[in-house]
Amino acid sequence: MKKEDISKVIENISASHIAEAESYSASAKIKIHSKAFFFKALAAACLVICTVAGAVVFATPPAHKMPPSISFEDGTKVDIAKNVPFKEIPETAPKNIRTEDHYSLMGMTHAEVEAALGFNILKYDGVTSEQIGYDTLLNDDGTIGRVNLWWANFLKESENKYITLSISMLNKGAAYGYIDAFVQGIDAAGGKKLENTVKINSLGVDAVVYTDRSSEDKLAVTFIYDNVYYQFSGHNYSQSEMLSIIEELK
Amino acid sequence: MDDSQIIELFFERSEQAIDELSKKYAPLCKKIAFNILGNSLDSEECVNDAYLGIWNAIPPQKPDPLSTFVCRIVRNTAIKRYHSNTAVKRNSIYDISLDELEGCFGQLDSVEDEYDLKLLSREIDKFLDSLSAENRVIFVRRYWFSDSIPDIAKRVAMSEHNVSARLFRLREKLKKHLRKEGYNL
Repeated sequence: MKKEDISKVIENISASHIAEAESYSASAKIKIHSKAFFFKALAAACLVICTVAGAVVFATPPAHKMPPSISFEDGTKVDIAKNVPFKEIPETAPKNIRTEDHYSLMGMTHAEVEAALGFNILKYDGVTSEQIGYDTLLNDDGTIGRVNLWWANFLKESENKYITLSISMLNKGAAYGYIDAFVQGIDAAGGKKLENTVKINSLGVDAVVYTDRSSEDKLAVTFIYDNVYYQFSGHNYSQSEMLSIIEELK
Repeated sequence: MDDSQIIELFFERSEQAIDELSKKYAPLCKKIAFNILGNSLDSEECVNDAYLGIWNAIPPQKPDPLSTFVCRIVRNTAIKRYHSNTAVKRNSIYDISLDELEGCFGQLDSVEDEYDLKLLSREIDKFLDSLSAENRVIFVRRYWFSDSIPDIAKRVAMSEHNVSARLFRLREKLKKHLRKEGYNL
C-alpha cells in the first residue's frame, strides 16, 4: 500500500477521535495508587463496559440509519426526523465550481432553484427577495452529494428584524461524510438552548425551536419537510411571529 | 471568543472571523503544519492557505467542533504542500510516522480504490474504539497530528520510551485487528 493511501486512510478517521486527541491532557489521567481500589474499580469498569458495549451492539443502529438531530448545551438531543432523509437530485442540476482560491454560491431565483432540482422548495408569499444562494457539495465521483441553499433575504422588515433561511438536502448516493455530517448535527454552532418543540399544522411536521449563545436576538426554527431540511433564523422575532410565518409556507 | 461566535462572524463574511480564528487556533495550526512540513516558513504559509480554505468553507458548513474542522483543513493543506515540496521529504515527523505505519499496511494488497480506503478508515475507527482513551490519544496524536514522541509523552504524562513501546504494541494490535477482519497483510 502506498504512503499516500496510508495518509488518506488516517486522514478519514472519525472526527470524535480527533477531537478527543486534540483536547486530551495528562491532567485528565486519574492515578489510583491503592491496589484494592484499583481492582474494585477495574471490576466495576468491566461491568460498565460490558453493559454499555452490549447496549451499543444491540441497540445502536448503524450510523447511516441514525436520524439527524440537534444537540443542546444541557445535553438534550432532539431528533428532527425518523431517518436520514434523501432526495433524488437530477444529474442535470448545476454544480458549483470550486478552486483553491475561488468559491462562491450561485445566485438563483426560487423558480430557478425548483427547476434545477425538479421538486418544490417551500416559499412564503411575503418574501423580501426571490434570490437564493445555491451550493453543491460533490462526491468523489463528481456527482452531487449535498445541496445547500442560502436564502439571506428571506424576510427583511428592517436592519434589525429579519429572517434568513438555510436549506439543505442529501442526494441519494451521498458520500458517507455528507451523511455523517447531516446526522451529527446540521446546525453545529455550539451553545444552543432548546426553547420548544412544536407541530407545524399546515405542513404536518414537528419543528424544534431554539436559541444559541452566538446571537442574543436570534431564534431558530428547524424541521424536515419532504426530506429537505429547513432552518429559519429570525432576528428580533418572537416565537409566535416566527411560527405564524412558517405556518403560511407552501 | 467561543466557536459559535467565530462561526457567526464567518457567516456574516466579516474578516474579523479570520483574526479571531487565528487568535484562538494559530498555535495549534502551526504545530500541525510544522509536524508535517518540518519548516517554519512553509508552515506559516500553509496556515494562511488553510485560513482561506476555512473562509471558503464556512458558510455553508457549520462545523462542530470547529477545532477538529480547522485541524483537518490545516492537515490537508500541509500534506498537499508536502507532496509538492520534495525538499521537505524525509525531514518531518509526518514522514517518520508514515514509515511506521507502512509496517502495518505496507503489504496490504486489497485496497484498490477510494471506497476501499474509506472502509479501511472505518476499520481503524473500530480499532480505536476498542482501545483505552489513553492509547487512542497516543495513536491519533502520532499518526493524525504527526506529533513527536517527546510531545506525546508530555501530553499523556509518560516516558518517551513508554510511548514508543506503546506505539509499537498498538501497531501490532492494529495488524492483528485488520487480519481478523479479513485484510490480507
